[in-house]
Parts: sequence; structure tokens; C-alpha cells
Amino acid sequence: MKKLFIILLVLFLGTMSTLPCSATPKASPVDPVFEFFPLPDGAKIIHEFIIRNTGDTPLNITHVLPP
Amino acid sequence: MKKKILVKTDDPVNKQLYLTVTGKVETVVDITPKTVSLRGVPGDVLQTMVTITPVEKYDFSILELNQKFNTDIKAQLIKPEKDNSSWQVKISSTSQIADDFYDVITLKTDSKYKPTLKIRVYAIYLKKDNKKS
Repeated sequence: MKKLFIILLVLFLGTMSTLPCSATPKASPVDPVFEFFPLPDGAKIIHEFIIRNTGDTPLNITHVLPP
Repeated sequence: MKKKILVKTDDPVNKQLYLTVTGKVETVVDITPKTVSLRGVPGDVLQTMVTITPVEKYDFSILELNQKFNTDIKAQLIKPEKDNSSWQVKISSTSQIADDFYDVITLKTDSKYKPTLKIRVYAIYLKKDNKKS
């Protein structure tokens, strides 16, 4: 019985060691710099920045502060 | 032109990251001066001209002139003459008392990029004793 308990404990600890010890989100901007072609003052442009989450847990964007 | 956008995340490594927008912005119009400041003493007729020159590539016409406040500041739009692309605004002011006046002149245009242009005007009348040379 004691042997079985030790085997189970070893298996449990082994499983635990394969899990990430600190799962976190990771923000990875695809292209953080957008350079536009010459535009007249007053013209409007639209561009979408992509921020990928390459981490282990969902990424939250808490604030976006325009210039 | 170069502007940065701050993005805050719950990523413990990248709590703050910056996105950059950059590029060349071309001038559409030249306004000289952009702000008018007139100074004098009561009884003076203060006047000046503002010149508005559209850049040839983005040429436009001025359709109308409006003033925000009903002050003692008068403005008149002068269309460009032949061989000249510059519009002018003649600004004048008179007052018999020491006082300050302020107005905003709005020019409506047919420009796709600059549908309105604004010129701020200050007219300051000081008592004769306080007039600076």
C-alpha cells in the first residue's frame, strides 16, 4: 500500500512539473510602426495594429492612450 | 509627423507598449498671420491683412466668411486677382473706449481637406497713458 502511494505521488509530481509554473499572457505587436505615404494635412487614414497573444492565458488590453 | 500610441496590457513583461504612426504630412494652405493681434488707443483705426494661399496641388476656393462674435472687429474677404492665388481678409477695428475685443473668423472652403479655416483676432485698446511705444 505504501509503495502504491509513493508511485502515485511520484506520478502526480511528474505531471505537475510538465505544467507551466507561471502561466501569463504575452503581448506581441505584429508591426508596431505604421508609416503612411505622404498625405495632405486634414486627410483621414485608418490603420489596424495587430497585437498577438503568444502567452498561456488570455491577454487583456486595459488602456489605449492616443497621442 | 511621428506620433506614439500607448497601450497598457496585463502582460507582466510588457505592461506598456507603444505603437507608432509616422509619415509625411503635406501643407494644404498657408495662412499669414494665423492669429491677429491689434493694439492701439481709443479712437485709433486698427487694421491688418491676412493672406491665405492654397498650395497649388490642393487648390481651393473660399466660399464664405463668418464671425463668431458680434464685436467691434470687422472682417472682409477679398478674392484673388488675376495671376494671384492668394485670398485676403481685411480686418479692422475701432473703439472709442479702452477695451479688449476678441473674435474668431471662420472661412468656409470647398477644400476636401480643409473645409473650414479659423483666424483668431484680438484688438486691445489701452488708455493713452498706458500705451507702450
